[in-house]
Amino acid sequence: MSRPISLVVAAPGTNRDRDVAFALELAGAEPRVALLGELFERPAVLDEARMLVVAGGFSYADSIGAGRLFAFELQRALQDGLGAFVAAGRPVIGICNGFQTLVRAGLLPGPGQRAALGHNASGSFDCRWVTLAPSSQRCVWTKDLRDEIDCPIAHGEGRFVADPTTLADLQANDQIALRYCGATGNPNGSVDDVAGICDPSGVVLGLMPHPENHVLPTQHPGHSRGVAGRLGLRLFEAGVEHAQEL
Amino acid sequence: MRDPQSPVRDRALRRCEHRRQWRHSHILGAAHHPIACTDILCFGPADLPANELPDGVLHPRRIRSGVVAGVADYGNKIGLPTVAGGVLYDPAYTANPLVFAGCIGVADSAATILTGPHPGDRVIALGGRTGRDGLRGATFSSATMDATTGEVAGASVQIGDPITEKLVMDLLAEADGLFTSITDCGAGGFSSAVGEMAEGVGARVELSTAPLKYPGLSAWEIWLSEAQERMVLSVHPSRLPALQALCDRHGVELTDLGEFTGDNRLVVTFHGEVVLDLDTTFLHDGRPQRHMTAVVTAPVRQVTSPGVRRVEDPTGALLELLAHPNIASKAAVVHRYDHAIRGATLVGPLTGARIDGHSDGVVLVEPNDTEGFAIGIGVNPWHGLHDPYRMAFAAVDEAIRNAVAVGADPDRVALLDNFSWGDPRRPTTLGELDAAVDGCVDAAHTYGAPFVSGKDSLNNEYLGTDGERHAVPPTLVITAVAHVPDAASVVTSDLKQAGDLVVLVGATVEEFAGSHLDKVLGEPDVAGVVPAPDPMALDRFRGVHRAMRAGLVRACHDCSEGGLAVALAEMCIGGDLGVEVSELPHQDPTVAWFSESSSRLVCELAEADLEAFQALVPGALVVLGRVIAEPALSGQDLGPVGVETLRTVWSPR
Repeated sequence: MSRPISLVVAAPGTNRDRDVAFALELAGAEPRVALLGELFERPAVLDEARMLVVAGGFSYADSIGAGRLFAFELQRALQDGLGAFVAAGRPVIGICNGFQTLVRAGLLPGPGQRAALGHNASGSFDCRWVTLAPSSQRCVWTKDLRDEIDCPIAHGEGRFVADPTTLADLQANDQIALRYCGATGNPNGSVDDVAGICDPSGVVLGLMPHPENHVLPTQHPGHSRGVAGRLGLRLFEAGVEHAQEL
Repeated sequence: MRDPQSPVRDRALRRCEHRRQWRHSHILGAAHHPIACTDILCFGPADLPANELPDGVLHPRRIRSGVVAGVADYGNKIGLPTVAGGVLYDPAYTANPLVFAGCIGVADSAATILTGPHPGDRVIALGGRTGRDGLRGATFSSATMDATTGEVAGASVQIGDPITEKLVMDLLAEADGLFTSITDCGAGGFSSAVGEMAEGVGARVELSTAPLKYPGLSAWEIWLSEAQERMVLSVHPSRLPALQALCDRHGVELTDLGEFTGDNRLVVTFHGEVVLDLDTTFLHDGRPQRHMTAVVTAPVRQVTSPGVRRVEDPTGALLELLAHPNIASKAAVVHRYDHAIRGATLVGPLTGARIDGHSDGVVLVEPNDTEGFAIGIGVNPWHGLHDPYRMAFAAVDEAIRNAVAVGADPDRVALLDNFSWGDPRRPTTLGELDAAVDGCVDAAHTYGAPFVSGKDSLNNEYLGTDGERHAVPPTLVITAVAHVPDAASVVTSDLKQAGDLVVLVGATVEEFAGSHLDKVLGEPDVAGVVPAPDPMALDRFRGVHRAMRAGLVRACHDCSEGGLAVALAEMCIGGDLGVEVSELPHQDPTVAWFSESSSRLVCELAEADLEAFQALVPGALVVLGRVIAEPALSGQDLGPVGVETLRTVWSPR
C-alpha cells in the first residue's frame, strides 16, 4: 500500500504538530507539516494530500477565542479547497485546538447544527489520562474500531455543548464519534460525555483528547505495571486506511 | 566535567538576577533545543489567617492560584511538557514567594560549535519587541520588598508572550550554522546580552533600530528593558539572508542592531548620538572586587539527648504527615500542566494503579528511542535552618536518588543549583550561603557529578511595617539530570505485586532536625542533627541501578520528608496494595518510622530475587516485610491503617 500524503497544518502556537506527524507515520501515512503561511503561498499543497490534519496547541495564543483566528486564516488560505476536500470524501481530523478550529470554521458539526467548546467545568486547564469509547458507525475514523482508546487530554476549553435540537440530531444521525467512558469518566463536563464528533458525511472528525500521544505502549502511564493501554494509534490507522481506499 | 568549586562559589556569591523568570531563553541561549520544563514553587501557608498577612502582601492562596495559572499559561502554550517540580509551604514564604522555573534542552553533539562573535558579524535581535516592561527587573527582584513594592514595581515584571517564544524555539531548531553565537536577553536586556557577547571583540549598536512595542522609549529604556522572548545573535553577513528567510517562514521579527567591531569597545548610539562608549575589558573586569564578611555558625552535629522524641501514636503522626501540605498530593497542580505533550514522558509525575501516586523522578525518552534521561529534584530548606552544609549535601543526594529511583545511572549525572537566600550583607546569612556552597562542592566531588548550570537570587527579604526583616529560609533547589541507559528497565514508586518483599537500603539513624515530624508534632528543645552525608551512598545507588538493569526491582521510592512511614504509605497509595512491616531499621520505632536519614531507598523485590539483589547492593539492607493484597499498612506500633484512609488524608480537600 502506498503511504497517503497527510497534510498537518500548524498555525503560530500549534504545538502538537510533531506528535501527530509521528502518529501518522506509524499509522502508515506520509505526514507533511505545513505552516499556515506556506498554505497561503501554495494552496495547491492541499490537492496533493489525501488527508488533512489540524493539529492541537494554542494557535495565535487563543487570544480572541480558541481556534477562532486559526479557522479564519485556514478558510482564507484554502477557500473553497476545504469544502471540496471534504466533498471528495478525503478524511479530515481536528485534534484539541484543531477540533475547536474546525467548529469555528463551520466544518463541524454540520449544516444547521450548532455546537461549541466551552471552558472545562473545572474552570481550568486539565491534563490527565482518559478512556474513549468509539461510538459512531458513520464516522470513517471510528467505525472499524473494536477497542476503546486510552489517551491524555490537555485542554482548558474542551466542554462540548450543543443546543438540545443539535444534540438530538447528532445522536440520531450517529455523529457522536467518541465518548468519555470508564473509571476516569467525563473530565470536562461535556454534554452526553461527548469527546469527539463527526460531520454528517462522516469524513471530518473533531476530538478534544490526544490519541497521538498514545501510539506506543510505553507512553501509557501504567506500562511499568504491565498495563496494556489501548492505543490511540488505531484511530489514525483507520483514517489512513480510509485515505488509501479513496 | 569541570571543577565545580570555584564557579559554584563565584556564582553563589554573585549578587542578583531574576527569581521570577522563565528559563527557556537560557536553553536557547546555549543553542540547545528545549524539551521539558520543571517548576518548584514556594508559598506561604494556604490557611494563613487574614490578620497574620503582612501589609501589602497578597494572601498565599491568591499568589498560589496566580503563579500556578501563570506557569500553566506559559508552559502549556510553548508546547513543552512540565514534568517535574515541587510545592513547598512555609510561613517565611508569605511575603517572598519563590518560583523556580526550569527548562531542559538537548543539543546534537554534531551541531556546529559556536565560536563567535567574530569582528564583522552583525548584532541581530530576534523575537519579541522591546517595551517598558521588565525595566530594572533584575535590581527589583534582588531588592528588599516592603508594603509599597506592589505599587512601584509593576513595570519591573515582564509581560510574557509564549507564542513568540515558541516561534523563536521552532526557528532556532532549524537555524544551525546560521549564527556564530547566541545569548538571551535576560536581566539587563540588550545591555547584558550585547555586553556579554562583546567581550574581547567590541560592538557598535544603534538603538533606534530596535523594534518597539510602542513609541516613546528613551535610549536607556531600550538598552535596559527586560522584555521577554528576545535573543541576540551574532551573524556573519553572508548568513543573514538565510536567517531572514527562516524568520519570515516562522513569522519572527529580525532586526539588525549593529556590528561586532573588533575594536574592543562597546559603543551604543541613539539616532547617531553616542550614548555609551566603554572599553569591554573595563566592562568585564574593571569592577573592584567586593569584600564581604561571613560568619559561619557551627551547627549541631552530635545527638546529645537520644530518644528525645517519643511518638505515642505513630499512626496518628503518619496521618498528620500525609496531610501536611508539603507531603500531601500535588496532583491538583500537576494536572494543570501539560505533561503528555511530545509523547516522550516515559515516567510521568503521576503513576500507579490509579495514576495518582507521585513519581520520585521523571524519565523522558523520545518515542522509539531506547535510552533517555531522568530528572530528580532535591530541596529541603528546613534542614538549612539548622545546618546549611548538610542541607546542601542532602539536597544533592536527594536529587540524584530521585533520578536513580526511576532508573538513572548514578555515574552519569549532571547537577543544577538554584539558590534563593536572604540578605548576604548580614554576616550570618552569608555564612549560611558559604556553608551551603561548600556542601554542594563536597557533594559534587563525592558523587562525581558536575554542576553544569544554576542561578541565584539574594536579598529575598521583606521589610515589615513592624520594622522587622523577614527572610526566606535558605532555599537551595538541586536538580539532577541523569542518563537512563535502558528505557525498558525504568521503575516507578507504586507497589506492584502482593507477596513481594519490601527492603530498605541505607542506614537509618536519629536525624530529626528540620524534619517534618517536628513540623506536625512540634520541635523539642534540642532539635538534634540534620541528616549526615552517607559515604556509602554512591556505591549503594550503583548497586540499586545494577539491580534495576537486571530486572530485580519492581518498585523503588526514596525516603525523604516524613521518613520511612510516609515513603511506605505513598508506595501503598500508588499500588493500591498493602505492606506488612515485620522488621524495623532501628530499635527506636520513632526513629525507624520518621527519621529523615539521607541516601535511603525502599525497593520492592520478588522473594526469589533477594539474594541476587543483596549480591549487587552493598551496605545496610533491611527486609522490612511484605507487600500484601489487603490494602493496609501495618507494623510495630503502627496501623493497620487502610490505604483508602491514607489516600484520603493525603489528598487535599
